[in-house]
Amino acid sequence: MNKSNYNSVELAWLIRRHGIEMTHLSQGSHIASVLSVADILGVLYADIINVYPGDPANINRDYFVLSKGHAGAAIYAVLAERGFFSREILKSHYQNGSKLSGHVSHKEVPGVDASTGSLGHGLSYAVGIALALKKLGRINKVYVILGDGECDEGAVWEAALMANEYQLDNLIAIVDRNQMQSLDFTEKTAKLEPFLQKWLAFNWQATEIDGHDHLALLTAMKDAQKAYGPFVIIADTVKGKGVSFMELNILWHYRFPHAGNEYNQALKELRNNKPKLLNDPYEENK
Amino acid sequence: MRTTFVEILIQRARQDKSIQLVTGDLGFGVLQPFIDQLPQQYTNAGVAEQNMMAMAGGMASVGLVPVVYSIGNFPTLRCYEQIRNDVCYYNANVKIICIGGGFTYGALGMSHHATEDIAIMRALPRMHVFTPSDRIEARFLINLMFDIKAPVYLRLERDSLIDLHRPNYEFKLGAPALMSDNKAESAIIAYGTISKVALDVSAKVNEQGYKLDAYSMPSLKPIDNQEMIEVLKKYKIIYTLEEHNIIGGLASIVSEIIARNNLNVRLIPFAINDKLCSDVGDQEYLRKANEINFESVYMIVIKNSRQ
Repeated sequence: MNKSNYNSVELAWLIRRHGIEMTHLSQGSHIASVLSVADILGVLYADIINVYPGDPANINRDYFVLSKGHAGAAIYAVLAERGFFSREILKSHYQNGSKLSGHVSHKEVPGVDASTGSLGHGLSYAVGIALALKKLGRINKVYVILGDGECDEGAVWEAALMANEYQLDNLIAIVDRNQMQSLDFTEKTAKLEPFLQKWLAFNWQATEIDGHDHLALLTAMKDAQKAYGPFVIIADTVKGKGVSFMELNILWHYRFPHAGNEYNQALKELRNNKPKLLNDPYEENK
Repeated sequence: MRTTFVEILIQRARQDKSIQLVTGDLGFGVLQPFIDQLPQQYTNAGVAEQNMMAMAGGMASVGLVPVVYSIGNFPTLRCYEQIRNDVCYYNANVKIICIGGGFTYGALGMSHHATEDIAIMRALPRMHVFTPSDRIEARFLINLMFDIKAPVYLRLERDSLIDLHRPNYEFKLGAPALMSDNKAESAIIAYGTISKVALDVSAKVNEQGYKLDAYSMPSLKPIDNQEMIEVLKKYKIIYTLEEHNIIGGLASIVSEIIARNNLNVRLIPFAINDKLCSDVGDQEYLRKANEINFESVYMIVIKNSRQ
């Protein structure tokens, strides 16, 4: 397994830092979703997933599907920091002629296994990969991150049903349970609770943890690797985590950090929490 | 055609272990020989078509060749976005098999009439659309389907024992396949088992001393434009006949070619007149109700021939 140059805390910080910069430059949406999923991706890509940045299609790699494709900036950022492509490319996010569309696309983006954006596809796609790997007798794992709002989609539950049927012990789902969807809180839109019990009722192994606690994430993901069937981690998160005025405010599902106060304040808050040994990539370039 | 499909599927799957039959919980009896002989290459995806189709995309991404089997509108309309995003966008090597094109399952009711499938499937970039009319075409197309490393939609009907072509007929992908003699001023083009109606109309018209050539269309996508133009140019009147809505099927394909190439030919389409059919009856009954049966077509063709 190729080692990450950064630990999970550093990686999560870099995802947030790139997310602010990318949405600021592109005037793109979904910064709050990027911030909520940053710790999950940080732990996954620092300590868990087996990837080969120099050989992205290596057949021994683990597979990853970001089913909540609107957090595309987060996966692009983590792939750049894991060395799949240069940081410079991140600046092209949303731009004309770029490879980095707002929602994740695999086309010409090394390290991306699945294109998403229409919700409710990713778990099924991951079930297909996991089933195929088992049929081929391969031991790779398949990781898929879903949004909680996405779980309104019926296809998610079709996939949950079939993952249990096929006993996919190589499939690990993580739900970014930030409690918010496009217009409102999930519990004010289409109640998901009791959410953990829903997965348990589908006969998945399931655990619910603090989705910003790296040790809890690491422990849960390691447990999931040893599971005897499909495993789901409900990661309780805060939408907009890390920038106080973006937290739990639906506006930041759409708004980009505007030049001036918003951008400056967001950076100030991030920098206050910067891991000590880490350089801000945008400072270096100045 | 269904039997031909299962025969060839078993043959090909024996040779190529990456072929995986994925059924949407359908094919009772018909698929049993495959399940018995190749259980490792079989998956029942349950009654969950959206998941089934995205799953097929995922399976293809790891190198398997999913052959997704269902009936009527279930493997197409029901999971259309999964076909677009999870199959076509990747140019994934997924084969989509619909048993029951058109009114095959007529008496089961409107829910089981697959009469808009051609329109939506041919609108998808990278998708191939194959529409066999008899066992000879089916054999050619099913083998070709496995040779092509891209998404294919195969529209089958129930078994028809009537063959419309010589067994050694040399088909060209995307070109009309002549079923009759080649000598007339008008022609009728059809696809699916209703091609038999086209051939019968041609025979009866010729018997009456007029002339009508008859063609089938084994593939509706891709279309070989040059071949189509060559055929259309020979005639003053072209009739199209299809068990499909008038929008988006063969009538549309032929109109597009005529319009784009400024051809001097009149098109008279026989198709379902933009409706969802609530009449109850079998395939033949519903063809009649929609005026795409032998008598309806013959009456109009003979009237035009006499003019």
